[in-house]
Amino acid sequence: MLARTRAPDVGVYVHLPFCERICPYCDFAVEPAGRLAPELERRYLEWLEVELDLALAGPARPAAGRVLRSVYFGGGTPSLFEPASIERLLGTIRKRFAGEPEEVTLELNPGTGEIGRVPGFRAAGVTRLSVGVQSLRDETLRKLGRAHTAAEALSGLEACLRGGFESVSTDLIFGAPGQSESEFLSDLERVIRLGVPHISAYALTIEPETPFARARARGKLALPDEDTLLAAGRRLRVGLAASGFTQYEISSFARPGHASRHNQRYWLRRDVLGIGVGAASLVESSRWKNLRARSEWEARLADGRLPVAESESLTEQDARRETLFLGFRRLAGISRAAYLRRFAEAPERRFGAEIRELRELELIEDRKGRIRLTERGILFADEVFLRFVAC
Amino acid sequence: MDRIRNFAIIAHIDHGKSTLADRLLEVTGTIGTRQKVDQFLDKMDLERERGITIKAQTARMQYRARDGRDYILNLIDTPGHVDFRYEVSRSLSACEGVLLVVDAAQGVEAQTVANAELAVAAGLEVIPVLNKIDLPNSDPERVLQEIEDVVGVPADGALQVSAKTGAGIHEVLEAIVTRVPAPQGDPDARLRALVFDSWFDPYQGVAMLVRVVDGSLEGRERIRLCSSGAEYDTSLLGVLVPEVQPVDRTSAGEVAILCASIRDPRAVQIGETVTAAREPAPEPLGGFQPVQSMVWSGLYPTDPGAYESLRVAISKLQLNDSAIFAEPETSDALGFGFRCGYLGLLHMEVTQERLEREYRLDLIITAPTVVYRVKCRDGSEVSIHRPSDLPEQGEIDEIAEPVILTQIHLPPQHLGGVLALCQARRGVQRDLAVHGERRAVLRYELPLSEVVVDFYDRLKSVTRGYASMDYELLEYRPADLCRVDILLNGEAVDALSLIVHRESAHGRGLAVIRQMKKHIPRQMFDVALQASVGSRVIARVNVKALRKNVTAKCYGGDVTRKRKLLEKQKAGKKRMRKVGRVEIPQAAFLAVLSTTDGER
Repeated sequence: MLARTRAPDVGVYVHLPFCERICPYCDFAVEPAGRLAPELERRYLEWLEVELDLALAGPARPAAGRVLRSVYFGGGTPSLFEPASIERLLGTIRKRFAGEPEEVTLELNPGTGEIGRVPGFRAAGVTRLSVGVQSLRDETLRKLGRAHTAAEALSGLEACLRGGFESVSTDLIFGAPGQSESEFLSDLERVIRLGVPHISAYALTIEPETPFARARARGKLALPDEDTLLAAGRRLRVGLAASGFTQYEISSFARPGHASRHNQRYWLRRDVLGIGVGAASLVESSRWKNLRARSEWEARLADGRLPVAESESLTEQDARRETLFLGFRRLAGISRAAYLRRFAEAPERRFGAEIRELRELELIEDRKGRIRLTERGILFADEVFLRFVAC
Repeated sequence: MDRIRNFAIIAHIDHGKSTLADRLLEVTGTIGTRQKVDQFLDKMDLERERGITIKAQTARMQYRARDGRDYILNLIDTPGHVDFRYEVSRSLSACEGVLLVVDAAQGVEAQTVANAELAVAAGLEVIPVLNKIDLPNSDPERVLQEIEDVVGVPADGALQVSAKTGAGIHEVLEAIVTRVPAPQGDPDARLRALVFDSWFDPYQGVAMLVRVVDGSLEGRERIRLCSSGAEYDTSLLGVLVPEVQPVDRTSAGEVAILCASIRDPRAVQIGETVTAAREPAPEPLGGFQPVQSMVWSGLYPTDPGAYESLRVAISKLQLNDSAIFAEPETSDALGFGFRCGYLGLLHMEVTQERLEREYRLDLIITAPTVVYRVKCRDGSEVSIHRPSDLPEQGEIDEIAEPVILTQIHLPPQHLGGVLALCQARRGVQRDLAVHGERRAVLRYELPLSEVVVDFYDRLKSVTRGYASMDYELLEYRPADLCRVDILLNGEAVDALSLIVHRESAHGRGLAVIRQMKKHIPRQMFDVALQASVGSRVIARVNVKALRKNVTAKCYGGDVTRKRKLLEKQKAGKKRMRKVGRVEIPQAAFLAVLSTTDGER
């Protein structure tokens, strides 16, 4: 038993919030910055380093010196940063931990400016690129407020694939305004044909207080109907399976060996230290989340304090709940053995009624020592998750 | 005793009763302007929100009159709405006079008339007060004429004030001193005090507002309740100024608050006579007539586990509002709950809101129904206040329903719309009188059941808010009625049945299920909603199945955010009631209340 217990390790998430411009559906911690002034870039890096050390002296102390498994540069648009900046940051992070990260991901926009930096990012130690393609139709890209064209996306993606990375992922959006099922499927086909080994396909979500939410409230946003979305989702899954992709998470598809290590840490509740504005962390039983406004974030750091907006200490019951509602996101589901090892009891011990009901509704099933979503359960995943949150 | 004046203020809603009360408290120095929350006497949040006074509150003022002497003025606050007529007359029993407040621009409204009639019938001095004379559109001459013509009270002595600016307030105080008679009663006789209001206080137990009629009440005395003979030690004797100020003694003519560590809310009924245990009075006071519930509905906790909390909450509320009648009831669909009787529809809504707000309960309220009298073929007769109790059609000889006489005040230009509304509700016109260009008084006989469902809202809407109404029960009349059942996936939901006129069965049934459809969220399977009379389905709509419920977007490491979104979704579901497999929000049950005429 002991031999199977993992030594505690850690992943690091770095939030780089700057974008050339803000997409009308985005509600992440982002800030318009044009091409990003070198002064702003340098200053943000310095504050990140300050935060890293403050966190490791504070709530992230248990993670200091652990084996570093993955690093993820997310945004915003991390590719607006110079490769030299990424290299420096990576170096700083690695010094605080042990081992060699198995995966260093950087999110990248396929605009011409950024694509020129791809070799630099590789040299800086990035092993995986996540390319924000979203769509391969100019009209749709324009409606989504993206900075690049379809041609740029295609040539950019090719450059990334040739760049010597261990893996490349692309984001595709479905349910964009005016987007038809066939348009989405042809985008998908082209991406597969290019040989991209990892695809994140997610439905456009209208988040409150975004320009899209306001447009929808005024009746000015024509979104595809439910039938189109359902059909697109179904054909997406069939098409990707036929091309050798495995759906390993609700919106993530990968060829063998290309599943994202870092993202799976979240669903498996493995510790991740997040730095930068709006970043979220989990270290042992603590979760915390940073301030989203950069000015406040900086002011706290200047004051020698952690820029935490909210934090909570998780009880064992919280941990059980999270293990289930996060674990079901992975299509492999929850390993009964792992659950038993972690909590010294079966999931049914506390959630017997919920599990029984979901099984009767045919939303989850038992399979080889795991409980996981059924085909129908994938469509009604939120119904499954919400059985396991409190209230 | 000749320095005491007990009075109430009666008015139509919005005519400025609460503002006048505040001004009186301020001018007499009872409350400072700074400590004043707007409209001090409307204590409950609910009242502030709806802007009407629902529960009677009281306040004692000290006033040095122009004759140089000091007086105690007890203001007994009263509710204004037609549903609360019973409470008004209860409050009036503690007074010798009333201020009849009339808006100098709007003039006499239905509740002005109804309330004034109560005061006159109780033999009280009625002092007309024209309020809002500062408004540019005020028309005192016309309104004074209306007071004489429509209310039937002499208007010579009417006062003209603006409670907002404070103009004329001193004249009001002087009129109370000089025109309201001092209380009668024998201070040397044995104690008799009338309980005219009561509520449950978490610290003091039952709190009673009493009018001391004879004798005197000591702060340390042991009291006896005449009806049960139960005795208690007084724990608090005080006056309301308007907050509680303890006193050692209070005597005939006074109004006081009395607590005696009474923990059982059912121990005290309003109308009770309190006497001294040491020397009990031989005869109790008259008390009050028990009220008749005009409207009934089922009350169920959304969470079936909250039944006990609901039971306790209702019994505490009944103490404060003896007009609520409640009996346990069981519904196949909703489990354990209560069948509650109310004075009217507003009373029902207010009761529900108070239970939800003051006792933090989530409730399902079923369609209101009136009391029907059913003659069966076998000669027996039953009273039905729950549609599902209606005997099978074959067993019924005749159903009689309550008919009310409604008095509607409105500007004549809206007569067309109101007449059409009353006709659509099976009304029979009694008479119509037009007073000048501004006012018509229309009297209609209407089945009460047609009034409890959104009549008042419709009346307000066809008259752009200018109509007011009041009603009284006239008689029971036979009518061609039938029961409409509502079926969810083929199963009748007993709590949703309604009794309607046969001609409107299809329209009402369809309107109800259409309205419900708007509120029932799509589920993981189709939900069929049907309306039926007997075994015949008369209307059907479908709530199509939800085909997915998944947020494909992943929120990165922000698990807290994702969890909160899920928690919110779950909390929304928890507020719904499961009937079979179907989750139904409270609003869908209320659909039966908001049925519009458009569907008829």
